[in-house]
Amino acid sequence: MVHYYRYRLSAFKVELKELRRQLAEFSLLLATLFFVYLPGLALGVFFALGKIVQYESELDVIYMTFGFLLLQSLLLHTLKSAVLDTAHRNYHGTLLKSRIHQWVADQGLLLLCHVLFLFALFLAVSMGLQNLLQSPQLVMFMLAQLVLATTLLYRPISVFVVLTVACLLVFVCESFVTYYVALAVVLVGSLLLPRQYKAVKLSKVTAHSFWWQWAIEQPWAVIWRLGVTILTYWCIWIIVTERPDLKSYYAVMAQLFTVLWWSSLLIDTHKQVIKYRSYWYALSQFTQVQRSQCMFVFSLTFMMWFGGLVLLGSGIFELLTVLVTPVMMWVILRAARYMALTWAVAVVALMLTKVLIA
Amino acid sequence: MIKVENLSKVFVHKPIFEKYHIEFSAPKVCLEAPNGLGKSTLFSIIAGLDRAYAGIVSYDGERLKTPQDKVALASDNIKFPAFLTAKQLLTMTQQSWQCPFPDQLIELLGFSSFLDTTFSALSSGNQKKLQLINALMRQTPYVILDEPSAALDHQSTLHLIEYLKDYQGQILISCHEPKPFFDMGFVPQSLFSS
Repeated sequence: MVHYYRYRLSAFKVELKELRRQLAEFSLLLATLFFVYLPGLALGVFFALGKIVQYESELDVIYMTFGFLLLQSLLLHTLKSAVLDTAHRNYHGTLLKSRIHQWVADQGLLLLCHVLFLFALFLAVSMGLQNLLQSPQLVMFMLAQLVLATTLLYRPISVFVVLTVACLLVFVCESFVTYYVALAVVLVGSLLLPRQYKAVKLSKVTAHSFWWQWAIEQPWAVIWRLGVTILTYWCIWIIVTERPDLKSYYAVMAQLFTVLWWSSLLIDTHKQVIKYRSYWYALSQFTQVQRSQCMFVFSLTFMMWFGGLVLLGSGIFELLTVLVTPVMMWVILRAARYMALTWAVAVVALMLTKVLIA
Repeated sequence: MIKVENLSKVFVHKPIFEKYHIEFSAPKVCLEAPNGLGKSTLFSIIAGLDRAYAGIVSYDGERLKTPQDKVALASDNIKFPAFLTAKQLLTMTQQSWQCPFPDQLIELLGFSSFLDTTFSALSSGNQKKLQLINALMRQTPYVILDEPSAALDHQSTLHLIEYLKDYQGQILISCHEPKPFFDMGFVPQSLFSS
């Protein structure tokens, strides 16, 4: 069976390489813009894990757990097809007598790319058994990480349910034991849900409601953006709680990130417009559907941006960030490869003006 | 009558048509040519879905700004949104062109039980039926059916031919098994005859 494991590893590497190629330009730009914060990012993960080990209030553990579980789900969902080798899943059946090898390979590759769990494992090992036994919440947290990651591979709908409930429980639970038990109960309960996601069908589809039907059918395009937006606001909220003096800068950055996540939805919708171009022409609705995709993306961006204003407060620069949306949308429709650059220019221009005025 | 004059069309640096002329004057025409010579491309141009060409296409002597208003095309070249159901797709066409819902056609082609199935989940035969219903329901003065009998069962092909017999408007088809269509009155015409 070594040949099978070797095949899975090489398929995994090939897909990761492709993913890296796709994200290279954007990652490089983010790294260039925020290179000062990169070491802090890795330290931030340990800082957050440290908050789980040595907490001031049990709520800290709950907040950190939710943030980590959401972040890991977003990261692992991106890597899921590489881990499972989804494109060639049927081919595995022609190589294997028993599915156990497939499962072992899945879990091995999952562990290999589950960076956040590896961070926690590193911390747990360096703490030693004696200290670890005194921090049962870290063990519970790591267990939650593993179980949710495995569930994500085979039953993503359960992960969605667990994360939604986890988000709501943050405002209800005061003890982390209750929180973890509640998550476990919800996870078990969610296993009763149908494995396959069955989308609701709108009775009438027009050039406008087409996008709602598309979002219902392919919810990942919206869900990951919603997840990243929650994470962005969550991180900024924690930072500004620690450093209220920097609130106005971080709030503007949070809004700019939200604009980036949501205006980039136009890349996905525009792909649909191009893919079904002849269909829209045949209906004489091409112009309408082009317009409606812009309205759809702008309204979602505006909603999320407004949520940020309510959460983090508003000022002149926070309000100005919404003007970046139409610019981003215009660039995406004409030359999507300049999207990241446009966003970077907007960030530098706004932040520089803010610093100069301050 | 559809007339194509001086048509030049290049596809990925390869010229498909150069100063090409053709005229379809019979009410029911079956365009004949081996695969890959440009039948489907010509159909897309006539239907107004492909605008990247040079030349003149006229419809009863008139040049149309938006030919899709008067020409309906059923072709694999039109990709339907895969996640919409057949009913949603037909309703879109109904709303876009203000035409009645094609209950009779649906019944005729035995498609009723597939209305709530998404396009991607339809078999190739049913996808073809949907394409045909989607084009014919508009009752346009010109209708183009690219390989209408491909993947269709024998019974449905007969029903389709029966339906086309009374169609009020010019019909252009391409077909690799054209005999039943010739029997019904379709006139063969070669892609490069004129």
